Amino acid sequence: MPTTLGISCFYHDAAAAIVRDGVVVAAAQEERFSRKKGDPSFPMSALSYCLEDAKLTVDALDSVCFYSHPVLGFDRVLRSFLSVAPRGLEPWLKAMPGWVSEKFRTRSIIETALRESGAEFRGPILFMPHHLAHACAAFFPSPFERAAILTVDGVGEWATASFGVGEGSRATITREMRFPNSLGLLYSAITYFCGFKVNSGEYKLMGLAPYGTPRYVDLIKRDVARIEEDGTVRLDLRSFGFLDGVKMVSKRFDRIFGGPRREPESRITRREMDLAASIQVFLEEALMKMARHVHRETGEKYLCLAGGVALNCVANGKLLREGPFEDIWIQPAAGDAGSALGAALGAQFGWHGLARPPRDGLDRQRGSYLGPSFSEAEVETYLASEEIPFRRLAPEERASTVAEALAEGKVVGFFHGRMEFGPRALGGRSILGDPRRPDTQRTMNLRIKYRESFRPFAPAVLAEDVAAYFELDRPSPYMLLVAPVRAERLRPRSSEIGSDDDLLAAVNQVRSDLPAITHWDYSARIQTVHRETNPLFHEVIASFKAKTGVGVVVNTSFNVRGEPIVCTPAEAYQCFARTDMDHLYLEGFWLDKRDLPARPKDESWMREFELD
Amino acid sequence: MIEWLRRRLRGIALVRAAYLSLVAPKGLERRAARRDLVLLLVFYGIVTPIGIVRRLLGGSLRENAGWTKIQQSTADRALFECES
Repeated sequence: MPTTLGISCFYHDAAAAIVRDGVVVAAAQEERFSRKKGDPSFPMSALSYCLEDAKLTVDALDSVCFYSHPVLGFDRVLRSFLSVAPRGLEPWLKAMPGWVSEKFRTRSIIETALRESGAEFRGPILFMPHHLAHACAAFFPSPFERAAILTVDGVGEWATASFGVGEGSRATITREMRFPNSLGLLYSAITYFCGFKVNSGEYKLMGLAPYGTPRYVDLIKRDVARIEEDGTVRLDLRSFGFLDGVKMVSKRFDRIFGGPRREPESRITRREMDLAASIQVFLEEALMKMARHVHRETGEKYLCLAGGVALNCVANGKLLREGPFEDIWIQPAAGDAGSALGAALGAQFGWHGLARPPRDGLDRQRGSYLGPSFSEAEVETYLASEEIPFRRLAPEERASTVAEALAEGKVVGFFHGRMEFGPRALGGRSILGDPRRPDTQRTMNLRIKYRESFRPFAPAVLAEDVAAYFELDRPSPYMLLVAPVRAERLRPRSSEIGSDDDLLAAVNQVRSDLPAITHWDYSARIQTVHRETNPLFHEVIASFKAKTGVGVVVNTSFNVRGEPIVCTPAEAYQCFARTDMDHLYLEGFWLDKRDLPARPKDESWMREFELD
Repeated sequence: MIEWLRRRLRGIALVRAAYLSLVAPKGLERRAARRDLVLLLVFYGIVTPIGIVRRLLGGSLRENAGWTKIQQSTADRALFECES
């Protein structure tokens, strides 16, 4: 039974994954352990967890596979500097120390880490091109026996997008789009310009888009980037700063869009909303053209997607509805973290020559519940040691207790089973709420998550009921598809967003009979919940339906703004105690905020996490 | 005048790095300053001349347009063995 450890790190969102005999055993992002959002450093803690979960020491590993080829990456970096020197000194000084201290020494850093774990690793350390690792993460866990593969991100070594075909135990890439032409970098540039953080704020930009009008699309196409018929993009490099500076955009961007970038945390204006809408339209057009080209070139019926751009669930939904493929599957950890899994899977089926195992339920990703779990005994020990008042729930009352609190309008922290792998909380480390209440979105954004009021929440819906609420006829277990809320559930909005750009007023308008999960454009980012992958979460929603007639709950990640999703019971309790959550379900134990000792009002803990 | 000149010169990265590598307090700070000096010398002494010559000879990132044909397959074991 060959076992492979996959590793991704040194750029952003480091992760480790273990695959044994073609089956994913464990995977986790380093940020969940280090508590630094998007932590790029070597994933020592994630690696230790994966080994522990697989009950292995490193001498039992047959191979380790790294998710990129550092030499090819340096080739791109060096040629980029050659193309602009003598400009580019600042990014040179910023980038080179990282290459000297880490990226050039990847092999020896891995060897040292394995040695430090206490046993001797005797297998090969392998390296896989970055986009091939994405391709493996997209195809191998998918439910398809053969499919086209499309990967789109900021940049790998040279590639910024690639496509090919997956068939059985083989994934092949046949074409790539190359740096500096990059759809991901373009989207990140607009993210930066709108005052959000690159590599984490892209999601906010997508959420902001429905409030705007895409009036900048022509301007973007004329002065910033062109879309070719085959979906490739061509950036006008005069508008960007990432080649010769440390900023994403140049001064030319300011002139094109009528002023400097929005300062982070300042008021969001009509311009940012319209820019968000415009780049969303641009991205969807480019992705659709890419998909049509890939379909023509490969002739495949199905499509697998990965790369950071594949986290744009609005574009994914459109691709599913209007694209040329019969079905699509998107790697839930579509960003760089998922490449650790892709590297491990690629090594298993490529280097070790294993046959791909049959699908396990919906697909081979196991609901993406691949992280640490904690037993009831461990949780009880923790609660007792901290003298935290709790009530033990019998197995048969767990789902109904959570559902009853939700039906009463309470907000519940839900900590159960294995932690999710990827950026979305899927009912393992979630905060749940009642989708029927008009004030849920505002309350959860401002008093619990401490994040921007305009950001929408996702519905978790019983898989068998999805078509009753949304214009979607298939599973979306990883919250990666956006679809319209069914027309009969909608309520007319009383007005458009006012000239004062008051997003909060817009957010407070009731848009459907499920206002907390219906976005401004009447869409929702759907998670279908399946009995096979998360029976308790399924039971909670079923029980909520029995009480209210609605088989949907609000599901958002268990964290506050800037904080990685909680991993341990202690982190879950801390987050619960600090915020306005009403209850915490902690692996069979029920905590009520009213039972906790009164705490002095202290918000200094918010400074622990850098705002994202 | 001397102070003005000194400030202007210190603004020039190379001079600044050389200056800092001499006067920065011993330890991490001085090591970082010396590292910056070496990186500066490499940038202006090697990268810049090669870059200018390459550009004169027509080398450019603009060539990277459209879909480039490649062949990367998990079936190719040699692909995994690239030395880092």
